[in-house]
Amino acid sequence: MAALALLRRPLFSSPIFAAGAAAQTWTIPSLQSLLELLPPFVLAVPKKKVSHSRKSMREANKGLKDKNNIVNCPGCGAPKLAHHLCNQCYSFLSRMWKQTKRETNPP
Amino acid sequence: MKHGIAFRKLSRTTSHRMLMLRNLVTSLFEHEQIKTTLPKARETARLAEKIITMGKKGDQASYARAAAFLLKPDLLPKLFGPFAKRYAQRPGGYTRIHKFGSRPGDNAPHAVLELVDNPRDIRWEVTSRAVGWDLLRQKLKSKQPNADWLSAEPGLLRPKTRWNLQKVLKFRDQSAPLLLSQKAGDYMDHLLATPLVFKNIEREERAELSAKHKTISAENKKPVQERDQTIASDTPPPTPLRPLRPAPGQALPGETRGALNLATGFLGDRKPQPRPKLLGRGTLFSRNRHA
Repeated sequence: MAALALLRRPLFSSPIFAAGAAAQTWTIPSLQSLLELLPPFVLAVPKKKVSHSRKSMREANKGLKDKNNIVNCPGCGAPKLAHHLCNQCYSFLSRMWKQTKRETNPP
Repeated sequence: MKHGIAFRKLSRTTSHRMLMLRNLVTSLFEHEQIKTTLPKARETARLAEKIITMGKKGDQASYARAAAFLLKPDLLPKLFGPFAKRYAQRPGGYTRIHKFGSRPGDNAPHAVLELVDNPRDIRWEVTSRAVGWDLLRQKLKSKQPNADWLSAEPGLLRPKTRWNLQKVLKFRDQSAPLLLSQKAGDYMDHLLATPLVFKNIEREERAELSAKHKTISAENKKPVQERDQTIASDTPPPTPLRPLRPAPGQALPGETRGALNLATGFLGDRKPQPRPKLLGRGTLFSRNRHA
């Protein structure tokens, strides 16, 4: 932008071109007029630092939601997610199956 | 728009998707129980059931189609033999999907897809455990020796357990109820053993701790030169030991309250509820018990 400011005078300053250019002067548009072309919200800037309290108020809705679909497993009584397998029961069963597999097919 | 299109694309091209599903169905027939993501499980279940229907039909055309679909020809005798026999009476619904939380790597919803009535049927196992749990509750309440669930008293099993029991026994053979009652009985013994195990563990730990205290105090009573500083300056954990209690939300046999109520504990509702007879040291080892 500084370079543009320097080029406010016409590009070619020799007399020959000045005669031709006198009919149609061409200057590089100024910084102010360029800024006028841009819409105002592009250059918006916060006026003050957002306070701690206002920032916290904005974050109020972003907390983790509680899960209320927790039930007891009918088999072992451990807490589990509704409509899902019980982790304890499944791990018990899977260990049991692996044990039988190891017993029947010894490596 | 996706109006009326029942298939999932699974973020793959047609050929990739089809091959992946063929692989999943082949694995399902091979192992009879697989763990995969929930959308994949739902697509695989759909295809697997169609292939099992081909197996049930058993004619030349079905054989050719099934052979073209499956990626392992060794599974064809299994499909047209044991599977056809197993599902002969069952009108569809040969697979079952159990949701199983989320995968740790990418938090994808996970599921266990299994063939119904397979040797490792999860519903069968969990129902046997649930029946054992209910029988134990009855035992604690009434102090009667083995309550017979086959006599079908109305309040013995929980409604959902009763429903599950009917479902798992429907298409099985005559020996199934006896087998399930044996499993339920074994599980009851396992449950009864647990407070006993806890009691023994606690007794052993206390004994160990008191022995340790004794050695340290004996060492400190000696004159300074004869002391072994490593033993004398040892600090054992403080007594009394915290008693082993159930995890938050864990229901003991006999409990009627829900998991959220249990987990909330004293911070939850304080309505006076009739205390059920729980499985614990009191119910098992108290002197007032007449078994």
